[in-house]
Amino acid sequence: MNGTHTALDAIEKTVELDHPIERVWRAVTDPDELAAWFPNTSAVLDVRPGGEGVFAWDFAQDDGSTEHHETVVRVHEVVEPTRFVWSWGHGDLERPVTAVEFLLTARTDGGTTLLVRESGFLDAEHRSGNVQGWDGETAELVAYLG
Amino acid sequence: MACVRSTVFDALADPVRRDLLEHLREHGPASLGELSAGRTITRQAVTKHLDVLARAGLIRVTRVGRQRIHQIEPAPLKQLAEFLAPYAAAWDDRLARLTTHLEENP
Repeated sequence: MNGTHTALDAIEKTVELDHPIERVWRAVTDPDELAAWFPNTSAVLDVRPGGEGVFAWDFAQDDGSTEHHETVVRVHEVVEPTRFVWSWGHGDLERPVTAVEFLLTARTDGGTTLLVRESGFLDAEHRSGNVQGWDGETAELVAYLG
Repeated sequence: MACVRSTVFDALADPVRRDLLEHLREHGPASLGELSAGRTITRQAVTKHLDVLARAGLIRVTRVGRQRIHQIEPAPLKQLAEFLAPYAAAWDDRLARLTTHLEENP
């Protein structure tokens, strides 16, 4: 039912959901909905091409404290209700900048197939620790994603 | 986290080299001619890319008569898969939470 495919430079996951495509679209694009399942603290996002936002997490530490972590998110493509492309990890030294595609397909039984593809792990300029060269990255990513 | 040598990353940072590796992974050992077929870049350029892959330890080159045969060296790709594994596992967690979220908020 659920699948995994790992290409050389990308992670792909497919999940079958029993809900109509409009409902799934809302769950994967509305920041309040995203905050309910994706980042565990908050999601703020301007959901239109060129829009930006921040995803935040608070991780419980062994000593009882929490560690706050956030990453800048950029929106690249919004094609309701089938395609949402964004990138994250900007300004975040703990992870590479990668692009994430949510691809939604309505099934004949009323459910939705959601394909998630995260790519860009191997692109030198997007690698973790690189703090320069982010201008013009949108164009690079769009070119990369084809 | 699994450690991937930076030379491996550098070698894989180029889409042509990734494509050459994918070709070897899918079709098995191949000569320069086979790897150059259908490409818009010259054989010399393909040779340079193959040299980078060989120096990074991603492929092994053996001589068979006058031909050089290229084949995948699996160890670094295994390191790469290990590097990507936690990112893949994170998606399993997120998609499980999405499924639960939709069930609770239809």
